[in-house]
Amino acid sequence: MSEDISLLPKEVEKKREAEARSRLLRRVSFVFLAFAIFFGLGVFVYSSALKSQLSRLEKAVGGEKSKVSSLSGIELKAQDLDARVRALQDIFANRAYFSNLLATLSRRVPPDVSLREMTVPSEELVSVSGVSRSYASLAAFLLNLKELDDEAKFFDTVELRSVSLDQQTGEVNFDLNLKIAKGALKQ
Amino acid sequence: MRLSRTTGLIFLVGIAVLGLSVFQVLSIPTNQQKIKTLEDKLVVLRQKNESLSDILSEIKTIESNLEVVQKALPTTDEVPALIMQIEQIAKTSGLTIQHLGFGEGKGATTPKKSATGEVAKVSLTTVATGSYASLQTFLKNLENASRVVNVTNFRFSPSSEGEGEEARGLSITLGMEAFYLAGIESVTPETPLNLDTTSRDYIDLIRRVKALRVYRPEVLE
Repeated sequence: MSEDISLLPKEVEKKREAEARSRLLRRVSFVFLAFAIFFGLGVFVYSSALKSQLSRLEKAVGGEKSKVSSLSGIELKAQDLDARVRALQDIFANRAYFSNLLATLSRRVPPDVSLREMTVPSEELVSVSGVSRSYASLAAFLLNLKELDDEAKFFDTVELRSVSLDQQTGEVNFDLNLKIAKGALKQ
Repeated sequence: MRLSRTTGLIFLVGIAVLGLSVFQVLSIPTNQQKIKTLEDKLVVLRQKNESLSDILSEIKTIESNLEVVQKALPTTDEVPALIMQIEQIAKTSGLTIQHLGFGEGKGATTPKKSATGEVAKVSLTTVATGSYASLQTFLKNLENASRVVNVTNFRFSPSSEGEGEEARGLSITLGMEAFYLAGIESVTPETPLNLDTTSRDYIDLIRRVKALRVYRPEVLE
């Protein structure tokens, strides 16, 4: 059996290995440097572009601001008008048109029924006291109140609280509670 | 393992370049955020300038609309004018005012200003006498009066004055609210301007306010 025998001295072999490693490291260092330079350049270019964009925008914003400031007198009027228009829209939208309630009631009160007292504490409730010549007229009034008005209910509930006959006059006194339908008092 | 001097130097330079780059990278998000903010601001400012140019071209109309709207919603409580309006409406509607009461001392003669941007209210109670029909007319007229006044509650009962039910009429108590809004005293370029004079809501409101009836002192005389 033959055996390979290295004739090179051990030191030479080690030196060669060290040189090969050193060459490899140098290559790696060049690659690293090239990467760092490319990365740095990229970052620098991008960062410079951002800074220049920022500066352009600052100038443009400054220019627009001075234009706006030169029209501040007009803007004050426009802002004031806008605020008032919005506030009025809100006020009108939430307003209860109680004239609608009185008009609706007067349309539905039969001729021989009269309303004596009315309390409207809010846009939802109405308490009515009145006098009717007869029970039939009162019944007609109650039916009228429950009627649909242009396909929409004006009163959600019509509650007869009390009815009493006045023996002396023969008239019927009544108390009613009405619940106004949501939105019925809006225009 | 030892690095050669050149390799070490190259690594050092690379690390230094990377370090500087990382330092630069850290400032990028801040600058991007600044750019985003400035771009948004620029868009708002350009839109505002466009709106202001449009408004400038119709400034006469804007001023006249503002005048009309300020009658409906004045800058101060304007209590004397409010009293005059209510009395005038009552008179034309057939009601006789017996008493006018103001909430929170709002009847004071020094005009009060609302905090900017907030609608302030003047609460008042009116006691009057009249008929059902005159109350109905009063409410209708009040709803169509130039100074916006809302009725919040009311009640009526037979009046104790006069003889006979017809002659006595009704004793009426109404709770009402009038409104005012302080004028805007200053604006910054950044304040957004939302006034759109072409919108349906704006046109409808101006038309509606213009149709309201103005009660002037001379009408009273």
